[in-house]
Amino acid sequence: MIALPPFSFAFQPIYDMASGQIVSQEALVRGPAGESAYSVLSQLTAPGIYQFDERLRAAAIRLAAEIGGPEALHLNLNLMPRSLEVSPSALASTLETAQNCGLSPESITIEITESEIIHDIEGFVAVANEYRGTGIQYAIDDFGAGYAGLYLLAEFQPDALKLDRQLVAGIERDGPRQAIVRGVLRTCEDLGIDVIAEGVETEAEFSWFRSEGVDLFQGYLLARPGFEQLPGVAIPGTSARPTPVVAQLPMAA
Amino acid sequence: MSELMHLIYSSAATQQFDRDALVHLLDRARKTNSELNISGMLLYIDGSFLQVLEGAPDQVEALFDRISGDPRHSTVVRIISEPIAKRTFSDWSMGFAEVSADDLNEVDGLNDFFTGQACFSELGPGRTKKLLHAFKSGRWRSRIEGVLPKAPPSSASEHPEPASPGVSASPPPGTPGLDALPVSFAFQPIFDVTSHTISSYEAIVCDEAGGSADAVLSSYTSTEQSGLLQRELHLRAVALAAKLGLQTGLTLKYAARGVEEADQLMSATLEIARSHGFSNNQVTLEIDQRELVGDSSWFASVIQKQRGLGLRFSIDHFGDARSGLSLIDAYQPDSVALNKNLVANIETHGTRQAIVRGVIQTCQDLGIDLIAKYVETEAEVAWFRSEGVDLFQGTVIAPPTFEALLPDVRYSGPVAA
Repeated sequence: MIALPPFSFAFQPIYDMASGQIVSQEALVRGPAGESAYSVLSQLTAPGIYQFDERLRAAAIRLAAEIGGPEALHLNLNLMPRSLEVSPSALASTLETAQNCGLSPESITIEITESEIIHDIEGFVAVANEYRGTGIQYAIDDFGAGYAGLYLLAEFQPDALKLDRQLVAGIERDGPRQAIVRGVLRTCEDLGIDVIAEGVETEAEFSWFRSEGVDLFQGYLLARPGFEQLPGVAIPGTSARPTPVVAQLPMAA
Repeated sequence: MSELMHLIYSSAATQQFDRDALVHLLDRARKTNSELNISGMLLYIDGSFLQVLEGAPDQVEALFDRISGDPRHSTVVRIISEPIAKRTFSDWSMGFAEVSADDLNEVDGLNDFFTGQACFSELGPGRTKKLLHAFKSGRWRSRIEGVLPKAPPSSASEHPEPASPGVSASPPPGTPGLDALPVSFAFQPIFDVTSHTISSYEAIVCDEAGGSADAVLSSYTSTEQSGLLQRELHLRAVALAAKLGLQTGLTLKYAARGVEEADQLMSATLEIARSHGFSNNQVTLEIDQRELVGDSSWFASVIQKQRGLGLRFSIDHFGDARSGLSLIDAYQPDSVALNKNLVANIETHGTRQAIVRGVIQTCQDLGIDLIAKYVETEAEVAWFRSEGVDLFQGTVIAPPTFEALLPDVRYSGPVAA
């Protein structure tokens, strides 16, 4: 048995402007006292990393369910590179933990980056589709960061994609990024894929995405990751909007 | 050749601009800009500005900084800033066009953009013109609520000077050891179905009998060898195209391997083209970067620089796993050629349609041509035409012809749905 480093989680909400609801909380690994993800993950080497990966998701589900209760809880969980390839049972064990904690598969979104899917796209699509029938959802993380985004969309249509921070930062002043994002929005609208503006840090970025019809947001502007808690959100320009600031889930003590 | 760039931005007026205010604004701009040797044009419609600035990079950036801080407009969006080989508005200290929404709706062509002075039609078919088209069709317009000025249709402008062709130099020598390489080329038209003109021919390498060149080329695999090979292939293709009397654009594949020799290789290709009498912007390098190794941002900076010297760039295999959206931002190419996996049977394939529609939108917004390459059926062509794509390359339009330029494409295929 390989010794694994101690860890815990922070959670960061994804907020839907259209429904005025927090639609999910992304679990972000942290050290036991809130140290960075890097401080934990840098202690790992393969093959222990994949075993750890499964345990991380299980622990994130348990912690979130304990803090917020399973009702109305939705979680975004990350998958480490090559997890499915090395450990095809990775999703099965995650779903089993979810069930034990009172969460349905529909309440789980698995986040994968485009670079890790493209590494073995056929293998990934086969495993991902095998579990789709359970109701589990998929989001592509850091979309637009690499070269493979469009190729990936042609082969696999996720439930959501999260625009890479590189595309989001300063978008209100950057024409090429605006043009690229408008194209992606068009494609996703046609394919029924949700688009999440991730890493939104300024009101100007937020406003630009709102003006393009984007509803889903995650970022410091709305909520920082909360260590061992499920944070509520502060909605930019709240006074002009009817939507109240709601912490949908109770906070941890 | 002096270093030149253009910067095109859009913004929203924060106050009402009537005709007098605009003329005053323009007077001041003209004065400043002629001192700085900056040319360009300013377009104003219903509270939105689009401005083109051309000049030396330092001057243009400094001016843009100043302009960005001007309180009379806001939401300043930098659309394009890149090196250029020549000015589009060489004689204009700052041309000006003011149009009303009615004009935009009424005019069919864009000649009336400058109230009948037909200046627009004389602009070269560069990115600037495409961006003005995009602006005309409603892109890049931002407007501050409550700022709704009237915009009487009138303008003041001068005609741009046609650019002079590139200079000739003595032909560079062939590559040692590759002189006897048994290859030749076929040429395949890239056809504009709307204007019924051939915009370019792509040179496709083949063996001396017109068959596949794979066997001949397979021994050149190291990065260094592939660099020398690339140079030799470009030399041969340009020479053959010149001999065949090519008048249109010439598209050459550039299989990017190492980044270090890229600048030198591209400069050599430009020099070869000039020595055969080709003009600026006549040669397009179609970048296949699937085997690129090394610092891709450095490679992008080489492309930007070479654009400024007179090469055009296309991204090949767009939509492949190693050729995607981030390249549009990095390279700001003149065109993109879609990968086969996005084109094949698109008329029956919703996912491909959705992806291509997004790409079309992005390209239109940035003044980038989209080439539907690898089209093999009329149904594919019909679908692309219905989405407003004009440029096609593929067997259904015209096959490659060995050591010959097909004089004409008689494609009358299906019309847009």
